[in-house]
Amino acid sequence: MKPAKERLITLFILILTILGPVALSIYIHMPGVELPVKYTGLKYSDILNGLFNPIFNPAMDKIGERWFSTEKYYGFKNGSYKCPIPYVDYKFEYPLFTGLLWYISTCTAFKYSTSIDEAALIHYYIQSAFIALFYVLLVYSLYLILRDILRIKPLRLLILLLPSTIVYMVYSWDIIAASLAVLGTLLITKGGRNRVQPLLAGLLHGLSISTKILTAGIVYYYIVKYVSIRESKVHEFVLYAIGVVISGVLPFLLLYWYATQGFNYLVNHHLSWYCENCLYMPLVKDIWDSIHRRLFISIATALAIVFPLIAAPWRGIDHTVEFKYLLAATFSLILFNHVFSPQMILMITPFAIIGLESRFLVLYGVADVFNALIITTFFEYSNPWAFGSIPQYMAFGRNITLLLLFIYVVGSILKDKIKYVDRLKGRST
Amino acid sequence: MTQRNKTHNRLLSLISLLIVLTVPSVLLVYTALNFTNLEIERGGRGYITDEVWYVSSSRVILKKIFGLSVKQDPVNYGVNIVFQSSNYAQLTCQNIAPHYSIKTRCDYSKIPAVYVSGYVDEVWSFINEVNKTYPVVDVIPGWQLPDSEGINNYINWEHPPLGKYLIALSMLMIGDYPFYWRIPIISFGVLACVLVYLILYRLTKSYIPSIVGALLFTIDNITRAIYSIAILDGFVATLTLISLYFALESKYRSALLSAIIAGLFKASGLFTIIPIIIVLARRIARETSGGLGDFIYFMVYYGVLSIGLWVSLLTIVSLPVANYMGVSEWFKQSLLGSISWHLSIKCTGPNCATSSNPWDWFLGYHSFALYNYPDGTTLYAEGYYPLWFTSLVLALISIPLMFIRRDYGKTLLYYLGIFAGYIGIWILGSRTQYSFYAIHLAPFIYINLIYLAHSYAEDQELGIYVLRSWYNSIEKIVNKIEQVLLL
Repeated sequence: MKPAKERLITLFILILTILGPVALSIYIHMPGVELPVKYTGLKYSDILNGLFNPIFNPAMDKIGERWFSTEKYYGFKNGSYKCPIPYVDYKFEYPLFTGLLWYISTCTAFKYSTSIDEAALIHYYIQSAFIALFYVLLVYSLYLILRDILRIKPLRLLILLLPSTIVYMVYSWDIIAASLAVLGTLLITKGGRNRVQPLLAGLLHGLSISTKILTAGIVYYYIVKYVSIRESKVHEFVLYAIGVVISGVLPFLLLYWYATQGFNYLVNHHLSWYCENCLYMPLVKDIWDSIHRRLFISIATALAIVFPLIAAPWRGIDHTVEFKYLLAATFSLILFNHVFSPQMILMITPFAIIGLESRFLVLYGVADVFNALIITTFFEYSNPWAFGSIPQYMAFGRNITLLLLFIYVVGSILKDKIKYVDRLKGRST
Repeated sequence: MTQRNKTHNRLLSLISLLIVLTVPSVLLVYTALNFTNLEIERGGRGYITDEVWYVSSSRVILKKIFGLSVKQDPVNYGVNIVFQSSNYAQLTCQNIAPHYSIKTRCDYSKIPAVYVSGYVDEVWSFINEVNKTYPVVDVIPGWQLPDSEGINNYINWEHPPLGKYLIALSMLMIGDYPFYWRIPIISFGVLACVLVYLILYRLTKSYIPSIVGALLFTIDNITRAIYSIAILDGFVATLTLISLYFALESKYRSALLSAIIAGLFKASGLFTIIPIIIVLARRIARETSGGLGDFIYFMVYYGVLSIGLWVSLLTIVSLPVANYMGVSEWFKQSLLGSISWHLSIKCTGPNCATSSNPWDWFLGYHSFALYNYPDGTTLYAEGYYPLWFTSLVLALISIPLMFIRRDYGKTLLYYLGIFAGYIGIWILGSRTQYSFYAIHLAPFIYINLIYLAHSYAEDQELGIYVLRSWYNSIEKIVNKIEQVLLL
């Protein structure tokens, strides 16, 4: 039994890391609330400005371009069609689980209000509730991992108080993807006799992919682990894979089957996106140049093939090393991506908390601050996408810091692998 | 090995060979036929990259240098008639052609020419009448010439003639028809796939990875495209593979000869000499225990010897061309001119074909447009770049393996040596290289990728060996730097 003081501190940290970012994030992004500081970027969110307004607000330019059917659009506009469906009625670039949450909040909002501003507010409250719920799950899962698996104090959770969590939480759906990924990881890592656990972990990881795709690296790691270790527990792998397929693959197939147009838009949207705050910007300054996308696809493929070949995980791998693998897997798809929107860092942060050594968390904190400043300064410049603007210097600072951390993590994994083989040899000789 | 195992093995190798023969044959023939049909649909107006130059020059070489005519179907006999000026071409189309039962193509704008086709006797009586009426400059039987000024005299002097001889031979023996002039390159393509299989089998001693490697190479975009059209780089790639095969068999003279023959198709084939002379020089330097000095001496020795041999063979195969052009003109244009052509910046600007740097090929960047389809899509000379990039990364990481796996060492030397050749000429001034040159590297991409994937998966300690080698090397470098700084 822990001493009361320690339990109190833990409780305080949990309450602080849960309530602080949630309350602040909801407050700063709430429509109609004026902030003491006049940075437009702090008010911006994908939930409202990036999607809700361009799709539903008749005051917006080119609103019709977002809709597949003019008839449905006019039906929505005159109030006879209250629940337009993403992918089917209008273009929506996020995966299906996000689409589902989006549908629930928008449908509810339009059922209860005819005013677009009021509907926006209801939609915002519902989305905030979803995000807050998943954030609580995330913090608690991280706490359990730190307490039961890594057996360290939960002080690391304080990383969540860094500005990026606050600025980007009630902003997009990255925290939901992260939460599902960490919860799934917790279930796999804790193990147990329950046969449902691998299936549930697979379902959660699949759902995470269906929220933001970029957590697919986590699933890839577990597949490689199962294959390279040639686990005797084949049934566990099968159950995990079934889970991933059900919630991470089937939704996309169903979407393709049911709303091909919407599916094609989702795919093309991501394929045609420009270099958004990407790592390669200092090398090629034209954000529309295809080299950014080509570099991402090439580097991600190379990492996905080379890493398992040279440094595959091993039987009885230590949890500390396993979390480094997971951090590297998350890094690979986000840091090297030609689209590294600032909110995406929220998918890295939880794995940094469990995968990085304390001294490197300080460096991660620096990257987090740079990252928060991207959107904060974004609307203060006429061309914030161009290299040379302050937001892009912030992105550059973030990217370089994260690259250094990535190199450290990979180097550390390779060192651990060498040590492991040496230990094995020592035993056999 | 028991009798049963032997039979089983023979059966497996037969099935594997059948697969690596059939799949590329079907794919390459299909692609080439598709190009042929498109060419016919477009009435000979489709532009398939540099093929138009090589094929035209092959036809000219056959007629003007060897005095031979291409084989043609007498019912569908074609002839290009070139006039002094385009007025005569138009007058011919308006005044004479309607009196004959022949098909004409009268839309040439850059060359004053008319293309006629039909029954052979009818075509020739038409030509005779035209000849009497208007000043005809040239008559070239065969498929339609591309619409380009001076194409009726073009012999593509900047590249060695062997590839064009081969294309001309197919025109002479089989016929002057788009599919027929692609038969040599298709055959070289199929041979390349078989060689990829054989080399991988030699390296891995396993059927599955060998078949997978050969098939991946076959289905790669760049392989299917380049081995379906009559351009020289495919010939070079296959001869390079033959050279590697000989090198793996330790038949270095044959390996060198194959590389030199590759250089008789296109000078870039000579890059293949780089790995061979490294292997040879290292081998002899080890035998003589002469160390680095001997190694450098033998590198230079074999380098000079190879170039000398290439120049001699080039002179021999170019004798008919030299005889036609005049020896001094041939020396100036085909030898000295060729070197400066290869090291020059060819064409830059919005109207030029997209050029690339050799490293761009590994990212599918700045790819060369080989063909514009009628539906508006474009066929690019571009491999499956994520795999190309991965292969290069793996190759560089796996350099330490060269010292413990000799056969792989040779393969890696070929891969990186040839790549170094392209980078070398880039440094020397050839800044406008085209992505279809990358076919030269394509087989090595897949041999390397599949061999390493197979080896690392089979022996997990191999990865550790590589990591440790790099770790030790870096440690040594750091120690040296420390020593220097402390001194």
